[in-house]
Amino acid sequence: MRRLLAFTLSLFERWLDDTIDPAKLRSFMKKNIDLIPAQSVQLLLSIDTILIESGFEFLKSDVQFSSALSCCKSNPSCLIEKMEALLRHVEVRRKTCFKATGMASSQLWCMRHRAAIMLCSYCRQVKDLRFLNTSLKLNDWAYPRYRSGSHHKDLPLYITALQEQETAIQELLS
Amino acid sequence: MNVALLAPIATSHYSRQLLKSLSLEPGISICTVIVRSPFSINRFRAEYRRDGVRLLRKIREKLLLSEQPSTEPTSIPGLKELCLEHKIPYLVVSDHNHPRAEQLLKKLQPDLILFTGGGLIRKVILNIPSIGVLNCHSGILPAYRGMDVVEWALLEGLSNHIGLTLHMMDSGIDSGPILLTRHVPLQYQEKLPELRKRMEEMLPNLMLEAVRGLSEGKLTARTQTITHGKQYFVMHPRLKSKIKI
Repeated sequence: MRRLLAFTLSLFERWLDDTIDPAKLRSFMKKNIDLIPAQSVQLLLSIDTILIESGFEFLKSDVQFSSALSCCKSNPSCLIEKMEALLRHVEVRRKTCFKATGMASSQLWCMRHRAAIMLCSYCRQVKDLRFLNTSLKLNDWAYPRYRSGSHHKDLPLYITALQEQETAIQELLS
Repeated sequence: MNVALLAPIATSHYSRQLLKSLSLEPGISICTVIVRSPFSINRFRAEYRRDGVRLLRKIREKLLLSEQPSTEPTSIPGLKELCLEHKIPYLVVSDHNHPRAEQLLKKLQPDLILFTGGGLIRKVILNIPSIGVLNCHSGILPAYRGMDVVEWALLEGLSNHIGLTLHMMDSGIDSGPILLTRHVPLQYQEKLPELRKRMEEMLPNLMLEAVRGLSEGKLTARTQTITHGKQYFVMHPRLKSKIKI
């Protein structure tokens, strides 16, 4: 009886498992690779403002997000603190991260993809795999939104996030 | 010394072995054993949010596929049986922070609480014992705080940072003062499950050593410098697959 229950649970586990395996990821990227260009660059530029408007405590600042990070360049401990806060926020809130009332779903997803990209590039910069770990999770949670093939305007940004993730894995772990 | 034991589940091997050893220890009196009930919706919800599918795997491995106390070769009785045998008050709660657990601990006023797993402990419970709440973390502190720290040390190529740290619990995650550290060197051709099992087997003895040291006044805690380490979270399967042991 216990064995049967364990087997049923393992089937349930497989059904609920939201991690993207590398093969699945490759075919998804191949299908959507043409979506990356200009569109995503434009989106990247507009997201900084969205991040601040979200009221996420890490960004409770009246300065632009990018300038907030650039001012950290002269003060490394400030950047470390902000990135650690971002890491903790995503790890603790998980699938509800960055959620603020009244925010459009697309904005929310853009913000998550932006965060995933940022975590990856920071990971490559400081060679701290914890940031790649969090980015992998963010990208896994987003996958069900796009796998059906329906086109969302934030898809190019998601593809960019996946690309960044693969580059970081290639660079740091192979 | 008056000691209370908090256990994650009634069948926990670590808790049973520790309770059995403590019951034979001179000068130690066990005032209560508080166990978390395995079935609680709130607990399931909170843990599923933290662990995701990994929680189902844990349930499958620990509750459904693990051997029952009576069939194990060491034949250590279950916590309830041990408590009955030694006339120790035994309480089952949905969560260690449950008001019933808090009331009982306040009434019994233990000198020391031994935490053998089962979620986060709120400040109100942490403040009850006169000495503190002891926890054995499966990693070297202050370097490796948080989850999956054995895997993280291996992934980062720091196999000399695998071990156990016995510390006093505070409101942070594995950030309380350190009492004892044991490095566990990786053995030739040892795989992760074997290493984990070996570490688990060391837990009761390390906890017992700390209880003895504290009751004899031979052990002092040293404060951690948080900036000397990092907090780690559950490792993604893709990173786990890159561990080379």
